[in-house]
Amino acid sequence: MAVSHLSPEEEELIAAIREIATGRVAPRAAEIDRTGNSPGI
Amino acid sequence: MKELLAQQDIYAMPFPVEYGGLGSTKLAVVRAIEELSRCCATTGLLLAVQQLGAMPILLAGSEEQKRKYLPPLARGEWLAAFGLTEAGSGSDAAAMRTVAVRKGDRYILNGSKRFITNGGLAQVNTVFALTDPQAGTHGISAFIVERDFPGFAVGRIEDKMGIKGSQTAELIFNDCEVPVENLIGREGDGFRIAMRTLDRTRPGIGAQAVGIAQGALDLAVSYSKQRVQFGRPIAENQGIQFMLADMATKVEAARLLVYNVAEMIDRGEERFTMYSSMAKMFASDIAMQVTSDAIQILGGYGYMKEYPAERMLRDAKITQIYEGTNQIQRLVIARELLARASA
Repeated sequence: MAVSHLSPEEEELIAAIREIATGRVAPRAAEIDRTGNSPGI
Repeated sequence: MKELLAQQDIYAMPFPVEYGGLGSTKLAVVRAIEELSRCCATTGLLLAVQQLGAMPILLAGSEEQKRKYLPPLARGEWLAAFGLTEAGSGSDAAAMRTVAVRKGDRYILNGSKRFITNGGLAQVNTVFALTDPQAGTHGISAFIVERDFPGFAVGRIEDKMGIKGSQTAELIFNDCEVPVENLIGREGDGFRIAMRTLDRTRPGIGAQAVGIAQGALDLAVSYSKQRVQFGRPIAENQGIQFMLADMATKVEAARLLVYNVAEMIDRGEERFTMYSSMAKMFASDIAMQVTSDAIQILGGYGYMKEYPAERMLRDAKITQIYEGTNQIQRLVIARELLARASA
C-alpha cells in the first residue's frame, strides 16, 4: 500500500469509512446498479 | 447511501470547520473516495460530486455565499451539482451557449446544461454562463442557482452505461432568475473558477478510479485462488500470476500519483495542475485495464452479471471521460511540460 501521511485521527476516520464501505455499502452495490437508483441518491 | 454518508459525517470532510465541515486534508478526502469506490463507484461519486459542486463557492464565493450554502452541503442535507458541460460544448467549454443577462438586481439565464451529475437532485447548482458572449473565456461567469429558482427546470434523465445509482440529468434555464448576489466572484471570472475547481477535484476522480481498480483486483485475486481447473487453483498458473502482478503494480502506481497530488494541494503548492491531470488520466486508464483483466481472469463468470467485475468495468469507463476527457488531460500535461521547458 502506498505511503500516505495522515494524522492518527484521519487514519481512524478512513478506517471507519472502510468498515462502512465493506459492511454497509458493498452489499447494496449490485442492487444500486441493477435498479438504477439508490434510496436518497 | 446519501443518508449514510450524511450520518457518518463523510460529506463534511471537504468543508472547512468554520462552515460546519471536518476540514479534512485533500489526502483524506481522496482516500475516502477510494475506499467507497472500492465497494461501489456510485457511492464514491457522491462525495466527489459534493466537493465538485461546492468547490467554486469554496474558492471564490463571498462570505455570505459560504455561510448560506456550505453548512447544509457539509451536513449532507443539500446536494451540489456542477453545471459546465453543454450539448455542444464538452471539452471546449468556451463554446458554451448558455447566457446570463443582468436586469436590475437579477441575472436572467437562458440555455441548458447536459450530463450533470446530481442534476435535478441538487439544491445547489454552480452554473457557468456567458455574460459577455464576445469575450471568449473571459466572458464566462459563475452563478449559484438553487433548484427552486423561477425558470429552472430539469430535462432528460440520462440512461447510462455505469454509475447507475447516480442521477445524471439535463438542466434547463428558461428566463431563470438568479439574484445578483449569487454571482460567484466577478463577471468574467467563471472560466478561471471552473479550471481552478477541476484542478482540485480531478484527483477525486483519480481516487474513484483507483478504488474501482482495487476492487477488481481484490475480486480477481480471490477468484483465482478458489477457481480450480486441471486439478489446481488457477492462481497457481504463472499466466494468471503475471496478470495479477501487473494489475497490482498499475493500481499502486496510480494510487501514488493520486496521493502525491493530494499532498501537493495540502502543502499549498500552486503548480499542481499537471500532476492533477496525470493522476486522473493514469488512474482512469488503469481502471479500464484492470477491470478488463479481472473479467478475463474470471472468464465466463466475469462476463455475467452474477459477479461484479462487469459492473466495475462499466463504472470505470466514465472516469476516462468526466471532469475532462483523458485526451484533454494529455493536452494539459503536454502544454505545461513544454511551457516549463521553455521558461
